[in-house]
Amino acid sequence: MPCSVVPPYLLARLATAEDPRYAVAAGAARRALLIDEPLRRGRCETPASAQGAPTAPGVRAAAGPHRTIYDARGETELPGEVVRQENEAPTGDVAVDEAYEGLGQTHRLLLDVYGRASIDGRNMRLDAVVHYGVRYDNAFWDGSRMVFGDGDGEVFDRFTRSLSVIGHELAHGLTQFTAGLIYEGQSGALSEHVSDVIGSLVEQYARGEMAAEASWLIGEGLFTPLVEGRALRSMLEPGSAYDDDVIGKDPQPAHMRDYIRTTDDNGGVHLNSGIPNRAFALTALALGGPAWERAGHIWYDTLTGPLSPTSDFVAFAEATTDAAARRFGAGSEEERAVRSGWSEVGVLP
Amino acid sequence: MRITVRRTGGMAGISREWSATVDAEEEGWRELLDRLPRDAAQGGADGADRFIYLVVCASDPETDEWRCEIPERNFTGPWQELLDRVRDTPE
Repeated sequence: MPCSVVPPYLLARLATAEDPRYAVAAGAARRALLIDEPLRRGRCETPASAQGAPTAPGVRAAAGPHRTIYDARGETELPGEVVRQENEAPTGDVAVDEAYEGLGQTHRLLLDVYGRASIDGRNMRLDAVVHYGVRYDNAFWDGSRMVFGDGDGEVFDRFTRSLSVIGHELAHGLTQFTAGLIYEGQSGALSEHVSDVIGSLVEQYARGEMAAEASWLIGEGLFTPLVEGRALRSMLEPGSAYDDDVIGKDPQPAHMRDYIRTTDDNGGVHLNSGIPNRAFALTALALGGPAWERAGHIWYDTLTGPLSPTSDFVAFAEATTDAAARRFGAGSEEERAVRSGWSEVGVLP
Repeated sequence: MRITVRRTGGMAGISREWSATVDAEEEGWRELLDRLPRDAAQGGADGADRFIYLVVCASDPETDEWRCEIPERNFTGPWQELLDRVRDTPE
């Protein structure tokens, strides 16, 4: 019979504590509640990664991550060969170990801060593939796993180098299991935006950075030293991340007046995401403190709340102000900061 | 014939474009152009952050002879061969 030192009612109170002074305790309490949950329901969930192996009766289903890293060995067949599983020691292959750590950091943010076990809320296994293709300049979410290229070595370094990129890819899974935003036009740009928000928050949470200290960059360190650029995108100053002879200038707009209409890139999903990105960064900076707490909670509530898969920027902006009012009260500082963020980028009046 | 391959999308959102002017009647090109599986254009976005390829083949700069938008997962075989050859063709 398992015995918990902290009584469940106290865990529940701690888990919902909003005071930033209790952030660590609140995260730990949420983890403990989730770990104990299957026991209270009298069953154990077997992670998919452990399926096929016999599960001893009474084994605690942990809320911790279930990570599996595969090596595609330069091929494009997915998923490749298993090279590192949960609780296994580092392999010495930097891409494998960065992917493993990055999945863990993303899982930790979702669980500690938002009380969500993995991207589906049911502690789904997290799979990542590294060394995909030859000199492959990309990272993507294929609907069930993350895939990372090594980069060409001239413009891009390996894509696992950036924690915000790993968080970004995993957040596409989170969106798939929640709002299901359609990957086209404005709803697609919102999917990209949500991934940048989570990617940036994973990095800030791992570093313990306050909103004012954060770089607000996505994909810092991905460019080789040959490229004139800091990162792939700047959430705070869209359009300023790079300006280079070979790859050109960062094309992201920062305001609705510069919204890009195009058929490229599923209707500019990686371009127009600059607009909501800036609204989020401005909101987080106005509120101060850790961005994952107040601004992050409002965006998380929006993503997991009643949101149409075809939402446009205005619908999403209104959903965030509603979420702020629900969590912090109508007319609260938080609701005003959200409204003001969207207003500054021209989405709301 | 002018062949242009434009790649958009991807996590970085950075577009790339390659083009070449080729003799479409020359056997090697004719054979490759005939082999292109145009039905590869079917199918929407798979997951997120994947590349999308737009291939435009025009005999006259003013009239597009044909264009095909192909999701990355279908951009294999003859399509990849086409891109490799366009890249390798001197301007």
